[in-house]
Amino acid sequence: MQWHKFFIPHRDTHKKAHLLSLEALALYLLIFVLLQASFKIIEFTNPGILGISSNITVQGIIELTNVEREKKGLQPLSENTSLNSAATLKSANMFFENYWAHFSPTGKKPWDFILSSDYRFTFAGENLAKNFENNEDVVEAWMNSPSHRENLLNPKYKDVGIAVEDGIINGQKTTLVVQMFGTTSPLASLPNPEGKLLGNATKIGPKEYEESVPFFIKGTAGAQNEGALINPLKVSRTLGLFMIGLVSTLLLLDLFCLKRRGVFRIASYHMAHMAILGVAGAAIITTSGGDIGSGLSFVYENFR
Amino acid sequence: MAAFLALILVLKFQAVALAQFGILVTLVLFYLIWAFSYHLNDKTLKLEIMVEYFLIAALALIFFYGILL
Repeated sequence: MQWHKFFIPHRDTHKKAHLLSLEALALYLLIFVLLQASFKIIEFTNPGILGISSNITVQGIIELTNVEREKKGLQPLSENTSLNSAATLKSANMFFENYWAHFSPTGKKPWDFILSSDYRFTFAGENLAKNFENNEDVVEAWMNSPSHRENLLNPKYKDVGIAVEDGIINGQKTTLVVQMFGTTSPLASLPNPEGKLLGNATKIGPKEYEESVPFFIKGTAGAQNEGALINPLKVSRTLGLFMIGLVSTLLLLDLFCLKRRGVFRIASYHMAHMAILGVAGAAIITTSGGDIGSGLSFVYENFR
Repeated sequence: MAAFLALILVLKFQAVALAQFGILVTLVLFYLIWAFSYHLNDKTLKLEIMVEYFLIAALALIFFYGILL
């Protein structure tokens, strides 16, 4: 078998290498699509097999949060056991009801968990994160998102509670980070450097505040503390980078061979292909793959 | 030039995967429009050539989409 025909242009016809043909490109696309489809099927049929393990810690998140606050000249947040409890209740509920959002499908609101933990907030907020591998990536992602950054750097907050829990959401093992912020001081006494006391916070009326139903952890969250067998992020990243490297190398070889032979072929512009594959490769290498949703803050508007 | 600008933006927004995906989609659209007009002007516009551009574009997008969990 003439293996060189797979990698370099044909000697006589100067046709592209077999691994660079339209059929080969379509095959690479098909392989990747089938891989992603198989991940979805596994998530549905065998939840817990796929997942990401992480090194995220409660103390690590609090420390990094206070480092960011210190950079802006803000008071550090104090770890509050009630808010820790609220964050733990929230994460357990997210696993139990299988949702990724601030509000549960059954109508539970973030402040239900805070009030259930006997933290009578005047101003509070919630940041969420999942599928990150370390503390630094989580806080960096929050800092790069306006709504999350607003929570992290809000001068009104005095307390913070964090939960870092492993469980399964949408068939995939993940580490969920719930960050709850709060203050119990009267609103009028809170720092207000921008002159917008309530800002973009969701306003909670007295009826909703006082009639919030206590919430207790029910049931189990699914498989806990067992490493997932397959990390889909690592598999996708590795295969994607391999294929980008393969196609880019073949394009370069094609260019080199044609130049050496002094042949002109009416074909697509290889440099454009390599440019777009290069940008995709850079994005694949640099992204953390985690998800943070949107940040949320809420205020009890009657508590002035 | 467009690819270089996209690369800078992709590196700047490395903590926000969705932003990176948006940048990549924009670059892919620009790449396809550029390819069409380049080959049209060059009188080398053929179906086979445009299919190749579409396949490369699809590969770039699907490789990155695969890591958006």
